[in-house]
Amino acid sequence: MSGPVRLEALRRHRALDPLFRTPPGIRGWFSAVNHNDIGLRYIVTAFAFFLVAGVLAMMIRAQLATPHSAFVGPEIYNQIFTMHGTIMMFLFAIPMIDGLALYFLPKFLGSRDLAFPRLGAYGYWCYLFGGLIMLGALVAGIAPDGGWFMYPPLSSSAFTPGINADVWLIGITFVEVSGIAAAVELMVTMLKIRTAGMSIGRMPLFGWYILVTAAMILLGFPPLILGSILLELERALDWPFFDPARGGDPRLWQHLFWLFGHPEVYIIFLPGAAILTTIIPVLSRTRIVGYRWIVASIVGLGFLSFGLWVHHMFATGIPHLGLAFFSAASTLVVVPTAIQIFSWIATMAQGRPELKLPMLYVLGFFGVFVLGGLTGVMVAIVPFDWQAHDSYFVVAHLHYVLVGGFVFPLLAGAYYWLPLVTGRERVHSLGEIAFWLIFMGFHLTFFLMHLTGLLGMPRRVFSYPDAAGWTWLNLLSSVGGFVTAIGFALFAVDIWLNLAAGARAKRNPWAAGTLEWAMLSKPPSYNFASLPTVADRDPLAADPALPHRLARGEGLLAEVRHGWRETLGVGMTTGRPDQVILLPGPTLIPIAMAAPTCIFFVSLLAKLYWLAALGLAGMLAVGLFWAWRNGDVVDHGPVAIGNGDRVPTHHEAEEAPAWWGMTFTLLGDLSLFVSLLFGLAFLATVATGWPPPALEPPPLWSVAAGLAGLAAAAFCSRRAVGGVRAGELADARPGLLLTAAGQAVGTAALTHLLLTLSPSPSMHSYGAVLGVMAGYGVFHCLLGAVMALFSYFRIGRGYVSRARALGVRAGDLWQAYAAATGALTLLASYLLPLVSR
Amino acid sequence: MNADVERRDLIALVAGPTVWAVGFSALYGLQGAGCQLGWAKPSVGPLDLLRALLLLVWAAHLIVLGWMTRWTFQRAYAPPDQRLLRFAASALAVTGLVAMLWTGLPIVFTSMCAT
Repeated sequence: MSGPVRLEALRRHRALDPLFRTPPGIRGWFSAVNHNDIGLRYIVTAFAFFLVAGVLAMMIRAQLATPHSAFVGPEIYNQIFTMHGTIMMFLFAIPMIDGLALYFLPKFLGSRDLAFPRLGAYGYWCYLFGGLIMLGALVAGIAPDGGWFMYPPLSSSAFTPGINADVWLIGITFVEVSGIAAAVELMVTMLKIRTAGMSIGRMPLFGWYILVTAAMILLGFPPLILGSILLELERALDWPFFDPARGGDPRLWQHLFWLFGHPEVYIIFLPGAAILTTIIPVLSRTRIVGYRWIVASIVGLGFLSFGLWVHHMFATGIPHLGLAFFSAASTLVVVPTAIQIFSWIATMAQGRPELKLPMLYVLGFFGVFVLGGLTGVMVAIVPFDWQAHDSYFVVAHLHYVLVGGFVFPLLAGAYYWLPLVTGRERVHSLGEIAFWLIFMGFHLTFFLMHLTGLLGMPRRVFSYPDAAGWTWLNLLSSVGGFVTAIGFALFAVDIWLNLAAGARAKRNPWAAGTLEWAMLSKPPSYNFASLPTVADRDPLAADPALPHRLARGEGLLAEVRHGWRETLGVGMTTGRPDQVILLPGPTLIPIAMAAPTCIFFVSLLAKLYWLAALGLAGMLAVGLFWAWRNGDVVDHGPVAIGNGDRVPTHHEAEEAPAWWGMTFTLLGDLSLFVSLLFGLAFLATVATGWPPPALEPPPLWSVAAGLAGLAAAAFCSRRAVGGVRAGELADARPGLLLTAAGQAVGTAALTHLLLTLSPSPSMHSYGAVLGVMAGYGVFHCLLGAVMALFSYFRIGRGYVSRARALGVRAGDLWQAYAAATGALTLLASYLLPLVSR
Repeated sequence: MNADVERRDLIALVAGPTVWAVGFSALYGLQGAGCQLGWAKPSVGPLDLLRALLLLVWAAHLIVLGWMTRWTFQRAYAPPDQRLLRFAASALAVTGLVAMLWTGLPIVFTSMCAT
């Protein structure tokens, strides 16, 4: 860059950086919302948890290295292996995925930040606090000890009377708040917050992978959240969801857990595949082969992965036909996975692969994951699964899949993006040594476990006799485990050396074509001084001078105005700009929201229910404050974005991120409600003790009043939206009051149902499930009433106009959902006893 | 392209596998309920009632997916900015059809309720 051009770039940096950067010091630590900071925090925290889980793995291998080991006793061992699995799955893998996506996605999409920066920060605090609760329990010796899948009846209060299982149920649910928050944020960002010209057909494959992963998190996590709520209710209030003596069934937990648990495998694999799909063409000096086929296979894989969960339950006495359905689906899922693997191989064959360090890890991936996939096909076949079930063969299989499918690609990605993230080059060839230690150590550890399993060694045993014939295999696995650990330690040292002593990296050292390299290394707080207009899937390959042109301000949204933090919103498929997103700045709101959330969960753990209610009230208060500060009190009309184009701000846009955010939130919410209906149907058809004794419908007047109130709420809310759209704000306000009144009537009817259920929730699982449905309805209707009143006051204060109808429209979605699910609950409570007779 | 067309293309993208998911859930649910309710015992011609019902549900979903596959193939020729979604919708409709065929196949030869 010449002198004047450099000065121009510097002027833009000085205008943008104060707006986007996180303030220094302690205040900045708590008020950060910028995706660069939040993403990195996720990544660093997840890596710290990975190290903790790694130490636990070493303790497992130390214990199993010899027969009759006296290293730890069974009580401690149970906590160690439970926490190893729990931390790796919930506190390392998913948050690492969130962190990678939060950090990189805006850069790939040519955006300055994500759709909801404050939500991202709130999710991080929930993750950190929830993780610390789990870690604290481990240090205190009261960690969960029932296995990472917490099967009842082992995890029920009769067999786990202490707090251990509660820590898992409440701690993991707390952490999953962050997963759901990130999923909503990522989906909306992918679909709406891209740069101009980035149609859905020009979206980087990294984005497609993250989009499908986020959708899977949104639909897959709620069944586990529901399962955790039910099991905690059983433990705390004696509601018998899983107790066969009172109409429950422990297999319901297994269904709910694996409805989450199997998609979880692909939730972890797909981001690994995203990294591979990004790296392989760049390091092979070519373009990806089969972009369209990969897109189709990602979406197909996302769907098929939800049809496999019962293959974890092949040994639970399910009829052969049921087993055959899921065995067939489990073999089918190989096809879309194979399409991706063959695309990567074809890409490498088409190009000229360079054996740089990231490529070593890519090859390591092939050598590990493919083996895991093959053993996956083996355990998908029922007769083989019955032989290998609950043996070390399965331990070997799952580690080949998860480490191969996620950790190897992650390490490839770490070395690939290190020059971008830190702005520095690697110091030594320590990384290559670390790779070989990890690769060789991994195979030594886990390949032998296939044999240990086939020789009959069951999972989760803390000791074994010498005569079993597993001694040498276990010893060698333990040696391999420690070799792997040394490899990871060298990796950590290598990263530290990079940070401490690496030379300054040149921009785009791999000559990549995607937009994350069209910025400074390391990235500035605003990513792009001006936003590109792209016409190619690899914009940087098409226009190598793009980074300099953007820095000079030759892109869109080049000038700062009104102190706004701006980025572009586009049509979902076309990539045409349709709004300017005004991003929030640093704020303490996320941590202020996370604090009462933490109080709520910790109080539940301590069984201080009055304090939990206070936590809920605190969340409501902060939430209202948060929402009140959104929006604008004036219409700006279309604003210039450059190139002569003008679009409205998101406050006045039809397809604003908040509307989609509400839509996706309700989609996740629906997944939980449908899981609950599945639970009711499952218990009614499979569990013993049905139909329930003393089954009585609620009074007709109560149900009728509730239905009328909910119908009125939905109708009045829709009318209020119509009024706002027509510019008749004075007419819309009474409609909102009536909406609140209708939801209040619905709340009263559902509360009445909850208090008068027959059989009662503690007497039979019917009452327990209906009780949860009623509680779910009370929560939604009550919140609907608050939201309607909130919109009523917002109109009075000028936050709503004909153009700025976003809040009322998003609220209307909630009102309709709350009314529909509440009505379904009331109808079910009245009709099921009649049908049963 | 307006927002309605955008939404229609996105819905078409996931329609095939969604129909498979609904059909697969229906088959599993019907099989579980049918075994509990004793529908494997009464006969309908050469078949037991449960197998006949499952075949009916399976065939209905196959017909819907076959029609969707044809429909998506007819729409596959599109302007460049819509081509990716149209292609993926076709590929995923075929995925749904093949998945339905494969995962429902055990109805033909497996025992209904034996454990």
